[in-house]
Amino acid sequence: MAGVEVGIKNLSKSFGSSNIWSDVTLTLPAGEVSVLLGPSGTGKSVLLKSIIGLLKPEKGSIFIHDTDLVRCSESKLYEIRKLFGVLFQDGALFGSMNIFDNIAFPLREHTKKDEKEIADIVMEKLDLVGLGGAEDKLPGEISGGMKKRAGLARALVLDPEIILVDEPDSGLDPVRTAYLNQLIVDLNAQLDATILIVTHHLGTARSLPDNIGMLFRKNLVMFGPREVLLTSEEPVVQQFLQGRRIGPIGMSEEKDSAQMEAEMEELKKKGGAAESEESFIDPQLEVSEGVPERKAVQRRKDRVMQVLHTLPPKAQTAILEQLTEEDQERYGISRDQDRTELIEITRNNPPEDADPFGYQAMAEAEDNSMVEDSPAGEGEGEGDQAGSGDPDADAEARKAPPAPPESDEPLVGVPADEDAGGTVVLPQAGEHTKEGDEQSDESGAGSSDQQSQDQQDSSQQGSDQDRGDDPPTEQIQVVRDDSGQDQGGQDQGGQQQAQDQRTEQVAAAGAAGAAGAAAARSDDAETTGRHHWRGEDAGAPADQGGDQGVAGLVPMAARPAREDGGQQQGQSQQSQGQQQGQGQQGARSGRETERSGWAQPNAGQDAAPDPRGETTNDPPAEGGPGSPQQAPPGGESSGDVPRGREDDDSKLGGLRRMFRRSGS
Amino acid sequence: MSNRLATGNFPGAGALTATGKMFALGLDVIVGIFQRPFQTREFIDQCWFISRVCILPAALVSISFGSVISLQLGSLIRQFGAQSFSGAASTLAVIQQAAPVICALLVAGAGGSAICADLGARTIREEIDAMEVLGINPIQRLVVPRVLASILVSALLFGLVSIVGVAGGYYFNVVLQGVTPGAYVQGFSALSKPTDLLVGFVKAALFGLAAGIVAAFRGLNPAGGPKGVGDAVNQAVVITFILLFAINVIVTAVYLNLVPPTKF
Repeated sequence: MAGVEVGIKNLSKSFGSSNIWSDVTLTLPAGEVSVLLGPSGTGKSVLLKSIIGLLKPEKGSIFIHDTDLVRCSESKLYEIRKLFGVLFQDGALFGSMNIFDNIAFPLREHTKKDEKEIADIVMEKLDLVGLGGAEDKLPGEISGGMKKRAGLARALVLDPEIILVDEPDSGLDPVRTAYLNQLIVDLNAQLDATILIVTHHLGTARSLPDNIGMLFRKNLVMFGPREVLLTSEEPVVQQFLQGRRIGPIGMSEEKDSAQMEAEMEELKKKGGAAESEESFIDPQLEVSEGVPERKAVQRRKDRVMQVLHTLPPKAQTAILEQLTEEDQERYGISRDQDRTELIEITRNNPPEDADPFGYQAMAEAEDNSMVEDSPAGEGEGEGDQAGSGDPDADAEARKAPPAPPESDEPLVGVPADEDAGGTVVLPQAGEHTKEGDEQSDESGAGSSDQQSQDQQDSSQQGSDQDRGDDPPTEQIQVVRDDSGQDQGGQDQGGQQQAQDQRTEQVAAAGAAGAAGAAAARSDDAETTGRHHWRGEDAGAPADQGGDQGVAGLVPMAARPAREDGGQQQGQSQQSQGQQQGQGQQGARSGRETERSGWAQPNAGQDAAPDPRGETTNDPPAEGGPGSPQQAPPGGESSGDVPRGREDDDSKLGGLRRMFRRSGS
Repeated sequence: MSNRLATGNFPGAGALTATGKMFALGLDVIVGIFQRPFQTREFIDQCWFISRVCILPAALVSISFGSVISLQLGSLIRQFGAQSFSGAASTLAVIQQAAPVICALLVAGAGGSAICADLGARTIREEIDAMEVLGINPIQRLVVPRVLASILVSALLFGLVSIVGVAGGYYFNVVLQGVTPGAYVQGFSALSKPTDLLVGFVKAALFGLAAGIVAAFRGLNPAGGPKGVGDAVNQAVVITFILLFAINVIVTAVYLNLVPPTKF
């Protein structure tokens, strides 16, 4: 028995004149665990009740098995509801019955089982939730936590295909919460049921779900794979997932803008204290021993890989990082490829058995709907929100000045893998405060800067691993010399895509990596990928000494080795010539290009991928280079100190642009 | 079953909406009566519950009611020298008017309030939602047995109240006022007809229906929170009383037209 997909489209609900939420669009993927977050009073429970048909939304539709719950007849609704198991906030046990009768109730109502069978099932479920022995008590005689668990047992007794859980962890001690979460994961493995949990509990939200959604300001801010939300730059999501006071969520529903500005000011003064709390991805809960594997895991991976190209780069990175070797084989990718290429591969070549439940179709539909749902003004950049379709909140939440595509976005990347003998390229958008100077020098450098960049990366990334491998300073020097020659070879950045591309190709031919930064396009992918390879082959040695393990997030697009730079000056000059024809923008664009084009080899040993460590390391990178427009040329070092909102915003802008392209 | 009633934009719209919803619930209940499986157990439980809370007060009220009618009427009628008709008069009064109203008051006040409080508590504790979610129609499962029980109990109570009321009248007229027992008993059929008994049953059943539906409606739609339940119970009883007397007037008027009173 597989779970059932729940499709929600453009749902709106009001009580009288007060709107609870509007235009909520999301799909609960079959058999996966999803979590719905949101500040108190944003209508999470209302959404839950709407999904079961207890409340009738005014607009929109909820599809389960081709039945629209909003419009179907009462009798049909009752039929559909038999698929559901619902745990209400306080258990909602029938006060007049003891625990046993409560749990037996659905069986007695809906099945023809005799009392013996019923008793067996009930006792089994009671043991499952740890309430064996309490079956004779009345709901009034047991504690809140017990009620909750009894309610869960009742919800499970019919082996539902969809389980909705309203705040399973409120009023429960941390240990029981952990047990309950484990129970939910195990249940998902056993029943393969679709599970939706409404919660405030951060631990639950971070470790339990496959997908996360968030309601705020009467809208669904985001819904998507866990990596997307956990790495999100969206201020609301970040604030909530980190439990900070600073952010758009105030004590009352919203903060007034003055207060928020003041907070941002303060934050800036502190020098970007928020960085320290950069988003990270907790490892997901595994099923406990003896429980069969969760089928949802593989299905989800297939699904996510299908839509990978629509996700924000950070999420892409996070997802790719988590792939095991079998996964890589399955998706026909290897750690040697850079991310853009990977994404293309996963997009075009789904594994043959990857679509057991029609997911491919679904993913495509989702993809389309994302595009369609995005408000026109924002373009397909909205895609990362999995069709939240909430123009206002989105726009507000990320008042991002559209950054040029060539902004800091890491475009290409490959998950570092444990046993990476070869290169691991991870997107590394970041820079460090300490990198600042070097970066300002690098402005014009194409391939050669790569080196210094690499070095910086290694020093930063590998901080907790191995720092001794940084390339010697002279290397950097060499690089810089090269860069001088190469300067002209820089493309102009993403504003002129076509030119970028051409440039890149030229550069690629010479393996002198001037890679089109923002160009996370399919066209570019191959080129950049090749860059990367060459860089590896030729010049990697210096880097390969580096024992960076997975943490090696790297500037990517072009990762020419310094030798390449040296050897192929002629070629880079050639490219320079071409580009001059196209009009160059000089140092600035060069720097941009360079930055976006970081790549770093992973000479890496067996460092087990520690996603958390990685991602925490990576923030500076991601938040890093402000949009070129904002950062004065050569002013990198200054740019990263007060890194805060604008940077994030500009990044989002770049993201958006990128999506528009890849979607087109 | 939204928790809030939609408010229109003219005065009294809320009341009309509530009335309409209550009527809709009544129709749902009638439909639910014919849905299977019938909740026999719940029905019997509720019958027993309502009887339990109603029988003793009904009996006590009807004794005093019957005796008051007897005393008043007896002392009045004696002045005409028509004591032999006191039995006829008190029987008429008790069976046609007093008994159904007593039934109504008790079923509404004791049974209805209990139903309303029970359903209201279940609603705010989300038990009703939980039941719906378990694929069980709470109207069919909970409301129908309660309404049927209140109808049945009300009708049966009518029999009890009639007997006790007449017996009380007998005691006061015969024992205290010296009317001859034979004359008293013979008077039963002088003014009253078997159809009076029948219409009494019909009235009682209608009262029971009204009390049950009003109680269920208010119970399923409490204003929110425990206080809402208290208010709902209060309103349920008051609404039922008003409704009962209105029904009483209508049914009596119709009955008197269909079956004219006995002429001498």
